[in-house]
Amino acid sequence: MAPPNMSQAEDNDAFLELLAQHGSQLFAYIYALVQNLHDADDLFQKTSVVLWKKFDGFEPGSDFMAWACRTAKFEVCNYVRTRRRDRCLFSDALLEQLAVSQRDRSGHLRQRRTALEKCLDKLSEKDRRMVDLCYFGEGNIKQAAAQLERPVGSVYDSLSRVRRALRECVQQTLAAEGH
Amino acid sequence: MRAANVGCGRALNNGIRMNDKPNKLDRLQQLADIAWRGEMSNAEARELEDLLTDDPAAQECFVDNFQLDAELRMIVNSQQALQRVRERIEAVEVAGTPRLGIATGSPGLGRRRARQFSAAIALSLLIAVGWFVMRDRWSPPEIETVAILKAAVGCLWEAEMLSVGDEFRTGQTLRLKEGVAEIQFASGVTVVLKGPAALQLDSARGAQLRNGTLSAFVPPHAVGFVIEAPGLKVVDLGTRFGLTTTAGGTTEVHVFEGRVQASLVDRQGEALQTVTLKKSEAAVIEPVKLTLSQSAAAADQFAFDHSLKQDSARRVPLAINGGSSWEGWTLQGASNQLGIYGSGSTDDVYNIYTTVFTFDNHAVSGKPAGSAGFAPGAHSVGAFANGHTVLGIGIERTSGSPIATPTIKFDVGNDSYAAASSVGGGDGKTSDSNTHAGDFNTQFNYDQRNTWKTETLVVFDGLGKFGELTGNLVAYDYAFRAFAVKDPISNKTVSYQLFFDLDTMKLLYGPGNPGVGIGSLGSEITFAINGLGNNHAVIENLSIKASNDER
Repeated sequence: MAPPNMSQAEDNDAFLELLAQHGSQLFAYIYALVQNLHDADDLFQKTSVVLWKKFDGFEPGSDFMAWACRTAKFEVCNYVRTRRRDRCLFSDALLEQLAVSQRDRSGHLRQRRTALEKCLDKLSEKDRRMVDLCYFGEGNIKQAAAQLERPVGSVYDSLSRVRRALRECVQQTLAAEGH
Repeated sequence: MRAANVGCGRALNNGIRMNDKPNKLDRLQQLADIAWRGEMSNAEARELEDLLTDDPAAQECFVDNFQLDAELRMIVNSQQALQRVRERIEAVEVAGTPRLGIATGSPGLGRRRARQFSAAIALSLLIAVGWFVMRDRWSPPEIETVAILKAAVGCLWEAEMLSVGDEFRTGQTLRLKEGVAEIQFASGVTVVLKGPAALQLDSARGAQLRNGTLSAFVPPHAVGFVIEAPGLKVVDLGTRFGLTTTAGGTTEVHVFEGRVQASLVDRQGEALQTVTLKKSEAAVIEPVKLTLSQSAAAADQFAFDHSLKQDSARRVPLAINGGSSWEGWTLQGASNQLGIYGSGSTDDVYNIYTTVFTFDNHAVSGKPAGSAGFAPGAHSVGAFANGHTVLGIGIERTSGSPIATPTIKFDVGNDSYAAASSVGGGDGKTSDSNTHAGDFNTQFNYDQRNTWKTETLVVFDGLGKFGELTGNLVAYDYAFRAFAVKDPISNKTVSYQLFFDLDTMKLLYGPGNPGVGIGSLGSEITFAINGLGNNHAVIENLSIKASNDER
């Protein structure tokens, strides 16, 4: 068995690093465009594969977010075209604007993630359990609601409250740290 | 309501011009929330499009909402998923062929190209399964014996003749034209099928009732047994229930012992609504209209196995008797329990019960102590009329000091009161200083002489002021009633039942009523209740809907 190809391994590493660094922003961008978690997952996977295949064409050190969002927008546009009839989605013009407005925020997002982890620890046990159930795996709120033995609408209400509280906590934490 | 999202504040301060409407931020946040829930209407989508177009700061704020979700998913699912992807990629590289058994491309390619190509496919599949969660590899169901025919009485089968001891396999459908057949699953579950009926056996732990009637007995080790019927999925939480499809096209599940989780499902199998049914409860599903309603269990239409001894069709009435019994009430927990303990002593312990029901003075049972029952007072005309939704809150002392005059603090936005993070902890939020506009307190006074003093309703404005509404000396001026039980020896109060006519409260005190203005009670509420002095227990997110309609 021949030893692993070194430049291939380096390529893998580089791609995974970039994906790890920008993945959540890329996912959030897609999610915001389609507003459906399941579809956002699918589109994110499709986009990741395309990005990997085209990775040879990516200039190391250049703006990964801009490059990734262009691809993502293409995938989202295809999706929107096929779904326009049953869902209300943004116009092509707005999709274009949203693609362009995605600046690389990875540095800021790293700080926010650390603050968010701290804020999550401050949640009550009950709220933390609900967050864990709602965000684990596929993030199926209906399943989580069934496990919590609560109506779905009630879980959404509680989640809205918790998300608002987390946002405020993150804001305060970042402000306290001088960001 | 709370102020606008703080996180978007910075972005929008930079972007919004001075003459923009001040509530654009609020509206954007509201729409983002609706979008996140997947409940956008056409009109709302157009409005959102207008708000976002040509406003990069607003766009950033909108995407930011979803950013939070992305972060939460990552944190909850941990970074280990990424590490696993990395490890598997490396394993693929070393082995030279993808582990998932995918063809490696055309034979004409050189070795290096072939490995690169296969790695790309492997990686794409690994990304598909590994990015946020490593899903278990799907394995096909094995063909095996899942059940046997244990007993048969007067049975006529559609297909071949079956006899006691016959074994059934995965996917087999039993079509019983008439008679009663007892089927034992490999998991220990017993199902008694009454013809005409068709039952598909999925596995030792699951089946589908295509039509007909059955009862099921699920022993403790087989809890989690799943049975489906048109529009319905039932997960057994132990022990005995009945399932039937009626000629009218409805599906019903009746619980005789233990509990089941019943879900209304659509044609794709997606659960739309889930309820937990206890003994003597039933749910009726209309698969076409996709509705679920609850009623009482009835045993008559079911056949049971030989081990069912008692009559399980007894209807449980709601007890309204001050708390001398709690039949029909739901126990929320004890005041010194984690998640409920708010403040005060951990030794003065009381149980908190709730119930929500539709008032019907023909069905009200029990004897209220020291009051004129549910008759309306001068300022609450129409209170406790038949058909009104009533919220009941009850407290029962279990140890420590006897309970005094109960105060219930209602938190309409679920954002004022909270249980302490530990039992005995000091971080519970139970004081009035936490209130927001529209929150209100009710206080009941039941003194030693068995008379009721004036009840009070205090409404907060969220700015540190409150308005107190006291009625005349007539004890029943409000849309609330209280009944209590005293210990005959000590003459101290040991339990209360407090009732709130939600419909009348909305009418008399709801938003828009000048001088009063309690907030919208909505479908969920948090309340804090005191047993004695500063002892507070908090029940968060109590659902107060009497019917089972999904919002």
